[in-house]
Amino acid sequence: MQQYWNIKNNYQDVILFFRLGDFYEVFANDALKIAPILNIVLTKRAGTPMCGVPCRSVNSYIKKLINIGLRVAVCEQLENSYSTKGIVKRGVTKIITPGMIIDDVFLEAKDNNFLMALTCEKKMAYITYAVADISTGDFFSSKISVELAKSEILKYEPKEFVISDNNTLIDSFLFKLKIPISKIENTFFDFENAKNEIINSFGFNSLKKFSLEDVDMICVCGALLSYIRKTQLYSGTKIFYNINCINSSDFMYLDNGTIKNLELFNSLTSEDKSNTLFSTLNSTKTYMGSRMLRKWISRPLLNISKIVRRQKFIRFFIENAELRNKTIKKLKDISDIERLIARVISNNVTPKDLIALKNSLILINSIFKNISFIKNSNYEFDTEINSNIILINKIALYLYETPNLYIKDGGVIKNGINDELDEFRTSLRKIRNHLIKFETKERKITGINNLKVGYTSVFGYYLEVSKSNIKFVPKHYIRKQTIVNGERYITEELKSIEEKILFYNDKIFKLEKNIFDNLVKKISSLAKNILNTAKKIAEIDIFCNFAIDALRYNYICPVLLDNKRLNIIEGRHPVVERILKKGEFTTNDISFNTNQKIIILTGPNMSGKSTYMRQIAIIVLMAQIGSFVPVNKKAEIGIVDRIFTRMGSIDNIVEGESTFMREMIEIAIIMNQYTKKSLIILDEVGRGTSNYDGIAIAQSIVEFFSKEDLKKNDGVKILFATHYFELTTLNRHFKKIGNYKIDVKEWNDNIIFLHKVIKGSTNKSYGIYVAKIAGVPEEIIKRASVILHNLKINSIN
Amino acid sequence: MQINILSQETIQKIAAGEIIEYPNDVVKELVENSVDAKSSNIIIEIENSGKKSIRVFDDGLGMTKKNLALSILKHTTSKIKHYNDILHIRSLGFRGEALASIAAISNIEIKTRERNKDYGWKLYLDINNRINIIPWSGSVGTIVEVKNLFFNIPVRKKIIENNFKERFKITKCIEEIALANPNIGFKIFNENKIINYIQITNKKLKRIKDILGKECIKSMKNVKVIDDNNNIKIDLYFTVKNIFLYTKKTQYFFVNSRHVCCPKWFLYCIDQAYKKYSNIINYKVLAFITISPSKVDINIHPTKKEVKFINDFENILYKKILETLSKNLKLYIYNDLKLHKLFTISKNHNLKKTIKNGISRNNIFFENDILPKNLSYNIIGQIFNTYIIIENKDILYIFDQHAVAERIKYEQYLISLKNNNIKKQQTLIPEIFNISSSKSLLLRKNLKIFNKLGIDIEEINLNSFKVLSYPTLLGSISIKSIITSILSNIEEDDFTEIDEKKKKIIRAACYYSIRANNKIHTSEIKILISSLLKCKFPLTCPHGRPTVYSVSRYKLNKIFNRR
Repeated sequence: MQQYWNIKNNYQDVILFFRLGDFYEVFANDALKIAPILNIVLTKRAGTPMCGVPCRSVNSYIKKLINIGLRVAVCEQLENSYSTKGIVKRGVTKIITPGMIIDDVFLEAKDNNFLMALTCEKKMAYITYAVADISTGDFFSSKISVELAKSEILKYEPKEFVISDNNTLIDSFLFKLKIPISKIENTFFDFENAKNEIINSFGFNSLKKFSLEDVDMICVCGALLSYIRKTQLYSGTKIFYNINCINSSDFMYLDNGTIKNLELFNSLTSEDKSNTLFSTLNSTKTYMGSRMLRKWISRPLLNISKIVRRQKFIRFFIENAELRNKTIKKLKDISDIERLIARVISNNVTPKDLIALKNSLILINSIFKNISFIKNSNYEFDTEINSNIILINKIALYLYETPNLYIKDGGVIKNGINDELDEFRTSLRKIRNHLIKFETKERKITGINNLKVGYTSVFGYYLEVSKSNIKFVPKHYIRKQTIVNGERYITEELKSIEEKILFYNDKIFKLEKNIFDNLVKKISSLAKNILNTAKKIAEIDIFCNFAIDALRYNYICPVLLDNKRLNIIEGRHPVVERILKKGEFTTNDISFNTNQKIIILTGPNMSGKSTYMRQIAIIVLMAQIGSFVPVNKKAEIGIVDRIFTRMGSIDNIVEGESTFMREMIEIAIIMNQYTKKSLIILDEVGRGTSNYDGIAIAQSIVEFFSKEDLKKNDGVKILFATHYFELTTLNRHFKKIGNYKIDVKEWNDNIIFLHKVIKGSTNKSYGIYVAKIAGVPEEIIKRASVILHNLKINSIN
Repeated sequence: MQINILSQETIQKIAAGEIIEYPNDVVKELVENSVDAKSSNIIIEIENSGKKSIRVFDDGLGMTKKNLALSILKHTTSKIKHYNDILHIRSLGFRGEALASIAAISNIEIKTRERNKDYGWKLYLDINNRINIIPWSGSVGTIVEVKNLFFNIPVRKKIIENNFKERFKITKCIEEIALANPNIGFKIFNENKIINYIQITNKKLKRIKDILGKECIKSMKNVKVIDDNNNIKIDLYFTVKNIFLYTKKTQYFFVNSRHVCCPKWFLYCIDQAYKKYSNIINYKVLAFITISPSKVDINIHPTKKEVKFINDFENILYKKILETLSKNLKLYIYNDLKLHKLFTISKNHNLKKTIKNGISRNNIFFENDILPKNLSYNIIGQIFNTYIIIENKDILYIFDQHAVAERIKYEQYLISLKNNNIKKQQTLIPEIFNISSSKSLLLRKNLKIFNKLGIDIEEINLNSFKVLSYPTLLGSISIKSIITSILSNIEEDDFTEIDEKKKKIIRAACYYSIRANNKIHTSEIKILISSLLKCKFPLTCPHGRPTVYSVSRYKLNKIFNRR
C-alpha cells in the first residue's frame, strides 16, 4: 500500500487505476467517487475503501469516466513477475483526460479530439485560444472578437478547456458551454514561461517561423504546451511540429445558427449524423481524409487561387479514370497513420502497428508515384516519397512481416539484426530439440509409448503418463500434478531443461523489447515527415472522392469571382436530392446582381422555401471549399465572407429567453456583424409577436438593407422569406428588391406543391390546407375556413 | 411533335401484338423511347431484377400534358403518322404499342416535364383503370416507373425465377443500346447501388472499351467502308487476337443505330474470313451499318430484332464486309508469325461450345482425341530439364514434366483418400517448426483435416508444432517447409467446405513436393507418361495449367511450306 500512496501523492486530482494482478484497483476517495458511477461493488482492503475492474474490460470503464469529464491515471506493473524479487515495480504509464487521449479505443475516428486553452483580457473584447489534438498533431491558435468567439470555439467541438485559475471572466463565459474545464496555475500563462516553453519545444526561431507575434497568443500556446508536457509522461509534445496561427479573416465566418440550420455536422431532427452535409460529402476512405474534410467544411476559403487549386485537383481525378480507380483501391487499405504516429511517440505502439505503418507508407508511395507519372500533372511528391522509403526500409529491416501481437511472445525482430539475439534463438532451438530427444529417450527407457512432454504456464514443463502406465513410472520421477486420466511428473533433467528454456525466453524478450524500443525512438524522430505525408494523402483522399461524387451525382465546377454577384441556374440541395428518388427533385435558380440585392420570397407553408434557402447557402459553401456543386447548368459565385442564417425557432427557457427574444438577439448580432460580402438568410423574421409589431420590424429591416448610402450595404445579399405580404410592395419604393414566390397549383380539392421558385408574389399561405393534411379534425378546418372568409371580406371593406 | 391516332388500316399493317415477355423487354422499350426523346443521360434503376420495379429516368424532351395522356393508349406514337413514314424512320420506336402493353401488365406511372415549362405532369391509373393526370414537379425529362410487372399474370411471374439471369439480360440489353449510342450516358442501379456507369463519349471506340473491356480494345482494329453508289456506310470493328470473354457476344450488328440480331449471312461472312485468313477462333466483331431507311425493312418481328434488306443489298453488304475483313486480317495477322498460335483442334465443332462453357479446373479443355488412353508413341527425349518430347504417327507431343508429375500425384492422393488407405510414413527425426501466431491459429483450426489427409501434426508449445507422419506418396521431402506454404494457400478459406479445403491442401502439397529442374531418365519418362494416360483428367495439372501441347505434322509442313 505504501507503493500506492507514493504514487498517488503525485496524482492528487486524478482517479488512479492501480494494477494488481488481473485487476485494476481504485482506492480511498477515488473509489468512493467512481463506484456509483461505474456501478461496481465497493469493498475494503486494510480499512481503505476499494473497488476494481478486470483488465480485459478496463477500457470501457475508463471511457465512461472520461465521458463525464473525469481524469484517469493508469498505473501498470513495469516488470515481469518472473524476474523480480519483492514487490514488482509499478509506475503510471498514461494519463487520460477528456482532451488528452491517444488510445484509439477512446477516440472517435472520424473526428479530432481537441484540448483548448483560452484567455482574455480585462475588457473582454477579444478571446485568444490555442487548440491541440495530441492524437494527430494538430495545433491551432487564433484571436477572435468575443461576439464571434462562441461559434468559433464550438466549431472545434473541444472536449476539454484549460484556463488560468484566476481568470473569472473566461470561466463564466465558458461555464455555459457545459464542457469540462481544467483550471491550472496562472504561472503557466505567464509570458516569459510561455515563450520559453515554445522555444524549448520548437526551436530558437520558432516564434518567427510560425508568425507568432501576438502576446496573448504566445501566452496561451505556451500554457497549453506546458500543460500537456507536465501531464503526459512521455515527451507528449513531440507530436506537434508546428503551430498554425489562424487569421480568422482568412476563412468564411459561419455563425452558430448557420452551422445548426444548414445541418452541416448535426441533424436538426435526429440524433444520428446521417443526412448532414458532412455525411453526404464524406465519401473519404481514410480517417485522416475524414477529419480533414470536417476542417475544410468549417473553414471555407476566401482566396480564389486557393479554391481554384483544389478544383484543379478534382478535375485531375475526373479526367484520369484509371488512376482514380487504382488510387481508391489503395486508399481503402491505408491505416490512420496520424494516430499511429501519436502512439509511436508515446511509446504505446505494437509491432503490428509498425507493420501497418510500413504497409500504409508503401501504398502511399505508390499513389504518389502514380500521380507524378501522369503527364502534365504538375504534382511532385519527391521529398515525401524519399522520406517514406527510409522509414519503410527501416521497419522492414527489423521486423518480421507478421509479428506476434505482444513482444513477450517473441517472433518480432528478424534474425540477422543482433548477434546476441540470434545466438539466444539458436540456443533456444537447440534446447527445444533436446527436449524432443529427451521425450523420445524417456519413452524408450520407460517403455511407455504414449509418454508426452507438455507445458502449462502454471506448472511449467512436465511428463504426462496415462493412468494405465503409471506402474511403469521409474522411481526418480517426481509427481507434480494429477489430472483426469493420468499423472504429471517432473525429473531433474527436465527441470534443468526448463530452466534453460525460461532463461533464454527471458533474454530473448528483453533483447527484442530493447531493439524494438530503439526502433520506435528512431521512428519518433521522423514523425514530422510522416505527419506531412498524412496531410497530403488526406487531401488526395478528399479530391479523389469529390471527383467520383461529381461524376456520380452530376456536379459541375463553379466559377468563383471577386464580385458581389451570385448566379445559380438549376441548383439542387445535395442532401435532400439523395433522399428523394432520382429525377424527383425540382431544380431552382437564384440571381443576385447589381440590380437585385434583396429577394423577398413568399409562399405557403411546406412549399419548399426552407430547402431553397438552405440550398443556396450550401452551394456557396461547397463552392468555397473547392468542391464541385450540385447545379445542372451554371454557377457563378462572388466570394462570400460571412453567412448568417436566422431560421426556425429555438426557445432558451433556461437562460430566460423567449422565442421572440432569441430571434431579436440573433437579428441584433447579424446587424452588428454583417459585412458587404455577407450572405444573410432570414426566415420569417417578426413572428412570435403581434402581427403589427412583426410587420413593422420586418419592414424596417428590409428598408435598412436597401439604404444605399451605407457602405456595408453595397454588396450584401439578403434572402428574406416571409408571410407578410406587405413586404412585397416595398420594391415599388426601394431599388434592388426582387419579389419571388414558390408555386403551388390548386387541383380539385388539393394543393400540389410544385417547389418551383418564380418571379412574383403570393399572399396565399394555405395554412388551413396544411392543417388539414396534418390531421387537424375536420370540424375545426371547416370552421376555420369560414372565419378566414369573413376576415377577408372585412379587410376588403 | 404531335401525337396522332393511327387509322385502322395503319394499325392492321403494323400491329403485331407486341408481347412483353421478360423484364428486359420492358427495359428495352423504355430505354429506346428515351433515346428517341433525344436524351443525353439515361438512368435505369432495377429492384428485384425488374419484377418489383423498373424505373427509367431520362433528360430528354419530355411530353406535353396532352401527349402524356395519349402515350399510354394502344397504337399511339409520336414517331410516325402514316405507314409510309416507316420508310423514313430514324427513331427506334414506331409501333405505338410498348407503353400500352406494359400498362396492361403492371402498375405504371409516368412523370414528365418539358424543358421550357416550370412544372410537369404525372400520369397514373386509378383503381378503375382510368387515366389520371395531375401536376407534378421534378426534373426536366421523363420518368417511367413500372412496378409489379406481371402482377396479373401469375404464371408468367413464376416463370421468371432466376434473378441473376434476368439482371444479366437487362444489362446486356442496355449495353446493346449503349454500343449504338456513344453520345448518351447510362447509369444502371440495382437495389439502389450503382452497378454500371457508362460515360458519355464522342468516340465509338471508347464506348466499345467501356462495355467490352480493355482487353478487347487492345487488339481491336477499325475500318470504315463507304459505298457511294448505294449510299451505304459500314463501320467495322474487329479483333486480331483470341479474346476470352464469355459473358459478351461474339458478333454485334447495328443498322442505323439499332441493335438487331446478326443475320445469318453476316455470321457466315465473318466465319469465312477468320477461318481463311487467320486461326483465331475467339474473335469479336462489331458492324455498324448506316443505310437509307427505305432500303431496310424493320417491321419484320414484334421485337424489331430482325431486319431484311431490299433487293440485292444483302449481297452487296456481304461482299463488302467479306472483302474488307479479309484484306485487313491478312494485313494484321500474318505479320505475327508465332509458333504457339498453331493449335491442333479436332475437326469437331464442339470446341466452341466447350470453350463457351468456360475453362474450369479439372474440366476437359480439349477433346480427348488429343490424348487417347491407348496412345502408341516413341520417346524422343527431354529438353531444358523441363519438357518431355514424344512422337506418335502424325503428332508431336510436348509435356511439362512437373505438371504431369503433379497430376499423377494428385490423382493418386485422391484415390487413396477415397479408399481410406493413405500410406503414411513416420518422420525419422520428428520435424519441429515454429510459425507466427496467426498461422498457428489457422493450423490449429485445421489440424483434423490435415490428419484425415495423412499429415499428422501435433502442437507442443505455443506456436510450436511437430510433424509425426505424412503420406509416402509425397516422396522424401522436408514436410515442414511445405506446411507454411500450404497454410498460405488456405488462409482465405474460413468458410470453404471441408471437401474443397482438402482438395486445396492436396493440390498445394503435390505442388510443393515436386522438385524443379530434374533430369530424368528415359525409363522414368515411360513410367511418367503411362501413369498420365491412366489419369482421369490428364490434360491439366491440378491448378489448371496444361500438361501437354501438340503440333500436327500437317501444320509443321505448312510452316515450312512443304506439300
